Amino acid sequence: MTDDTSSADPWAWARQDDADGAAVRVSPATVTVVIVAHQGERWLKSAIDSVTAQNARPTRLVVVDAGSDDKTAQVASDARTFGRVQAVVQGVRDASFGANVAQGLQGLPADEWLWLLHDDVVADASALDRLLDTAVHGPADVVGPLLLEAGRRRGRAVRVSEAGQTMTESGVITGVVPEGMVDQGQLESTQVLGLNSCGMLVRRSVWDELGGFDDAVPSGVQGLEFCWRARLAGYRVVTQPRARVVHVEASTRGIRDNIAVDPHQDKRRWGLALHEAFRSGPMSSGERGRLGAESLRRVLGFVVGKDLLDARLERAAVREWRADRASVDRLHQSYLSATQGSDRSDEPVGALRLTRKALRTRRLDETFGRITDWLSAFGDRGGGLGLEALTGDDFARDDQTKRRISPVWVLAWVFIVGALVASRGLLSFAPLSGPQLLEVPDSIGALFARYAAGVSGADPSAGAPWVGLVWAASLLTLGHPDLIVSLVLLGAVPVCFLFASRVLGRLADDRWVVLGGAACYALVPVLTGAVASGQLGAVAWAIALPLLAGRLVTWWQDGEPSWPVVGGVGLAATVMTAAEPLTWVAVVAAVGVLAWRLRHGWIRPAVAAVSPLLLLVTPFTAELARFPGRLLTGTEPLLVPTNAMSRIELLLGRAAPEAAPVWVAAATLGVIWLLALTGAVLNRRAAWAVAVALGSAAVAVVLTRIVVTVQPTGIPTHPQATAWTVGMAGALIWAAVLGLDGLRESIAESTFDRRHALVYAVALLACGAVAIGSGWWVALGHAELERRGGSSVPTFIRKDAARDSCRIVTLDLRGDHVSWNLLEGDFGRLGDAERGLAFGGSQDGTATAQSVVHRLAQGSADERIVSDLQSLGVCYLWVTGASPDQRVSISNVPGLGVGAADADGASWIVPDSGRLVLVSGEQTTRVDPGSSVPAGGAGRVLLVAEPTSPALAVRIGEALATRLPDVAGRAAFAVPDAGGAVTLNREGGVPWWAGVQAALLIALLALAAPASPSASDARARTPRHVRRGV
Amino acid sequence: MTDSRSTTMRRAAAARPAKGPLVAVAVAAVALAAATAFVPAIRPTAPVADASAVRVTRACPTLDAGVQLGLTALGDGLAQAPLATPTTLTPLTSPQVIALAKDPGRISAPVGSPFWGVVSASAATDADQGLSLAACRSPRAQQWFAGVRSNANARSEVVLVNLDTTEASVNINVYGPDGALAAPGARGVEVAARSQRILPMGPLVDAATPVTLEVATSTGRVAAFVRQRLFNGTAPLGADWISATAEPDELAVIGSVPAGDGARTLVIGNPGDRTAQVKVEVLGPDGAYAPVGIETVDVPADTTRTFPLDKVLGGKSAALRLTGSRPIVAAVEAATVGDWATLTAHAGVGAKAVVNVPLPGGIAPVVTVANPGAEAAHVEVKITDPSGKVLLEKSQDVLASAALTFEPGPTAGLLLSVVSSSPSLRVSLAATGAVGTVTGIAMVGVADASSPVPAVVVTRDPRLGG
Repeated sequence: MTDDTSSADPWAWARQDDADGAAVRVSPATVTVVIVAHQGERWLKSAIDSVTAQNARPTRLVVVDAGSDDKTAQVASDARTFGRVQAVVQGVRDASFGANVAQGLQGLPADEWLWLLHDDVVADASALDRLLDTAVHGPADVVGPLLLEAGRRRGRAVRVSEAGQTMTESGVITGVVPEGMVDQGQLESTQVLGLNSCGMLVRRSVWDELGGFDDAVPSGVQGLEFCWRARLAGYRVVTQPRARVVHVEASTRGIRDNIAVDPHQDKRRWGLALHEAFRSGPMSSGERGRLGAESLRRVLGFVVGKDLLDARLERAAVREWRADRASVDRLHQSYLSATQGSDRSDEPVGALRLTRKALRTRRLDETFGRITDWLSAFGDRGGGLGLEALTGDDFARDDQTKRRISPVWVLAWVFIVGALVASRGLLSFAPLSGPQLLEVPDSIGALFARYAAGVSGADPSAGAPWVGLVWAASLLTLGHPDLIVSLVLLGAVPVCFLFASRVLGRLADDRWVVLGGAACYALVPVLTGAVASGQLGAVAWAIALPLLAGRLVTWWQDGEPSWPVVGGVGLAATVMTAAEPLTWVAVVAAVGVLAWRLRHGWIRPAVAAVSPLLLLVTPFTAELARFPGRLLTGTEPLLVPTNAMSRIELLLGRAAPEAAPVWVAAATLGVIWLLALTGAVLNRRAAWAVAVALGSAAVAVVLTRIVVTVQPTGIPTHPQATAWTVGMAGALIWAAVLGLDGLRESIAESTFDRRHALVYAVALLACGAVAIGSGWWVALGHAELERRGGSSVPTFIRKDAARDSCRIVTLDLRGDHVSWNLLEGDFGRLGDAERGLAFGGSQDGTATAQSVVHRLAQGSADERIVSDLQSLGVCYLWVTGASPDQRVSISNVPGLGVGAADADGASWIVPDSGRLVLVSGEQTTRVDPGSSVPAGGAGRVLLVAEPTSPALAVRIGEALATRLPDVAGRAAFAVPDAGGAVTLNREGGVPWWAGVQAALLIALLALAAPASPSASDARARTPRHVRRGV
Repeated sequence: MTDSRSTTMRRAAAARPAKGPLVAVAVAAVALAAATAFVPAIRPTAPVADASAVRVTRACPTLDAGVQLGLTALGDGLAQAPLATPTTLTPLTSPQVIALAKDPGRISAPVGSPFWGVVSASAATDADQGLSLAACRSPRAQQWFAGVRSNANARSEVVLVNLDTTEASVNINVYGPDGALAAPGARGVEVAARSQRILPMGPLVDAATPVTLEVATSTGRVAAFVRQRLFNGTAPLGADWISATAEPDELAVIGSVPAGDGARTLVIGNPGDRTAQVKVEVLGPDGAYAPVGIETVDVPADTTRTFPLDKVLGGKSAALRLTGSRPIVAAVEAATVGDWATLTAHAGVGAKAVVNVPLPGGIAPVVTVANPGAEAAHVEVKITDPSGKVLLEKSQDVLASAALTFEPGPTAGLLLSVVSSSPSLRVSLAATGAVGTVTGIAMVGVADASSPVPAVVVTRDPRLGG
């Protein structure tokens, strides 16, 4: 039922004047108001005042003191003395709200209406009048007001606490409208399943007929239980949102002392009991199981939301519900009594319950709301030191009449457009690749195999942990690894800008300094060459750095970190450690310093510090033990150019040959150096950041000077230290922002002097640096990346390789150096370089391949080349850039067959070669893995061109084949007469350690995820329940 | 609250002078300076390929009557294998002389173990009369022969040895005195895998004067030799092998023109398409001089020209340095009574060479060391006989543009060891002596065998082909 005005004009609520004291029609009805007070000295007087100030004066006001040991009784007595309360009744301390109401009504004349109130309310003056109006003209038998949250500032938006109650299909009692909704007068009167006992206006006859509230039901559930019975008995239960009552919810929010059991637990337990009891038949076992599963989901949800208290309460509530069968039976009797004589079915009641679809919609709205809030926070000061933050008003912007476009988002969109322009040649679906980026596998399964599968010949071994993180991240792009890699690389600038602006906004007040710093940092991954060279790890590191810094700043400012902060530090550190293992040392140092300075215990710092160690739960750790030099490198160390960048170039941020030209680097990173040093002069605290920058630079210089050997066979390379160069630049920007913050404000009120010149010079330099850096980025920043449609190797060769039938040696004879590669499967893909590429697990195999290539390039054409190629399972030789003489020379290799040639290159065929070759007498046949060997005579041998390790096994048919002595570098297996399908006995599926790693990562993600809104409520309740031992 | 707290802390911290940040900056700056100044850059080295797996193989010519093959190597792994079965290696020692029957020899050694093979044959009568020497050589796709005669009194045959397992297809181009000669039947000559094919030149070429042959393969490769027999009517005038000359180049050095009577003829071939102006210089013990009358000669395109040296050399030994305006090939033909020999321009000796030259008894070898360079060089020459007796041991400088000769005296075979300070020194051996009733003569150049394959750097590129 709605009021007439609203019915005539659907927008009436927006224009309606809700001012207190507006003229309303006073009902002639007689109303008894009962306030039940318990430990309510803080609120009772206000409650009494608001009742006595009602436009519709109640007939009488009765206060029931439920055994309070504070000054509640005195407040009530005083009101009685002054005639504002007609009766003060001594209630029962441990009795429910309903029992105390009944106590208060004893001996009083039965007025037509009964208005029930808690002691922690303040009702609008028109509340009772509107309730009565609805009750009389609705008509309705039970009417509830709009309960509003307390504690909001005057003149600001108010939020809805409750506007009627309902129950989900899982027995969860919840509000009809989401809690926390801003009250803009948009709600209308509607029928509901239940009402809060607080503010409920009930027809006295109905009250008496139904026997009032069920005393055995906890106070927080009594309203719903009563209304449900009322509906079953055929009465109308409605809300009237225009009747507003502010409800402190002292018991629910943990403000009130001496509460034995958390109301949330009661509500949950008795919700389940009502769900089971208020039905005509017994609950099925399937329904019971569904409720159990739903409860488990809720527990997990609470745990993920860091709301451990509510998780415990959920478990306790379900346990009690299952144990207390008597209460359920008794409620069921109530149900039967309520429905006795009534021809109404459960159907109307069922329609008032919250359906799963409605529940999903509500959760979806909440999720999107939180995401929107998170995104909008980028445009704000991000917890800075502005006036809004100092006043702590959440709704400051609600009253802004002049809304401004956030410069952060303006610049972010500029960078997004810039990224699209810079990527103009890369907007296709072909795989992205670059000088240090192998093409991404075309499926998430192929990527997982590169992470989980052991490297043949190197036991124990596995792919690098960062490959697993890429795999996990690709779930965000619905299983398209190339898409997530493309987004990270091509979108690095705008993402870095947003993240950097957020963290810098917490360090400085001057919005323009923050914007300039964030813009400079956004360009760092590009200027260093991390993006152009395709260093996925370094770019991810650059993106994670401001996230880590932001969490550490929060940690420092909060004093004691929340679990999401701890998880955030751990998660960012994990990503950065996966990309650059040496980062872990820096993270441990930073967390250690925080823990030491703040002295809030060691558990949370320890969790943050050890989180990256989840990366070690993999056989890859064994390889690290053999080749610890990998701890000093970034991702895919084999792709690092042989020549290290010079020291000066590193100081200018040029970490890769694909970095910005020296003049661009000097105009950007050089300026950043200058601004950082200026900042350090102006603000001594900025010197810390300069020290960090110098330290990072020192690490970068040292790392790039040394040579380490990396897995799986000890290949020498040198660390590239791109991440440390990014770190250096980030620290310099940090110093500049710290030092230059406030400089602009300092000249605002003064005449022109040297400070003005300094400010203008700084602004000019910064703008110039950003402009030059951005210009180069947009013009050439992504020029080294490419999307290739396919390999230059002929299709027929690729197909054989794709079937795992063959390997291929490729040579490029152009120039002074001969480049070569050994290919297998779908050729070199992301993560393969960490696995040593094809035959990577065999040092001998790699050396043989190198030797063969050397001899081919030399034109020695010796007779062992073919047998060496056969031992590697190479079927084809693909050569590009060869001169006619070189082609002749290769053709002269004894036994090598001349294959097809085209303008790109020429191929040669290695006879009797393949990864699996069946030898039967003089006849040799290549066998595809998985294909069948036909039945045949005895003496047949299967030669397997794989790294020969004891673990190598072949299954032919159902049985493991018997291993014979190796033949010419190839493992040999006896082929049974019956033949059968040939499969290499590799480990498949998901290894246990990957599951453990995934579980730890999920736990870390859960820890890092924002806490659920209920967690803050639970945290507020925690002290009391800790005291109570709940 | 936290923001105001941090603001307060920040302001307060900024207000008071703190030494901590300055100390931190100083420490970090020192660390950076130390890293910059004292940590040297190390470049990762690519894995070195296993050189022992690479064997260099050479073919050695033979005759129906068989030849003696002298072998030497500076390292281990010298081996011999039958032409048809290359993997059946028979280890050899160094130095060693073995006999080759009708099949050409296949000798090999690992890369890094330089080795030489010199075949020697001698006959007192018949078509092969006289003394013959030839160096074993690696198969190639292109080879040049200067000073080849093919006419009624000169029977030449091209010996094509295919060491590989694939068939080779050979084309022979002939550059005569007046231009390129048509040689029907000299194109697409198939040489089966692991076999030898002898191609008589008589049916293909008839030229009164020496010609230049280009032996090139379209597929495969061969080791080519020219066996030439001269007659005066039916009377044999001697026989010898003509070794392949160095690749056409602006500089051609003929390491030795033997002393003595008999015709000495310079043969210059110009395979280019423009006339080559060739400056001829004689390298003597005291330096270079221009031979009168042939100081500079013109060799038209696609032609082979001959120039007599008898008068300008006056029977003395010397070496020749030819500097062409265009790439040329060259050889010197030397004749005695009853024999003749041709020495083609050849490459430098390298840092060290040891050759084992089997000779019949009584043959007097002469070793010539020519220095075509502009700087003096030092050379150590040691000659021993088959028993190990040192016949000559000299260590002396060779002037720029000069040539020295070393004569150890008659011997039945010799082991020549040369250590040179300049790899461009040309070392050759001329042997003369009585072979039956004729005066045998033979010449062979000693070329560098230490780098038969180009030095290349191979690097694995994980992106290649992907």
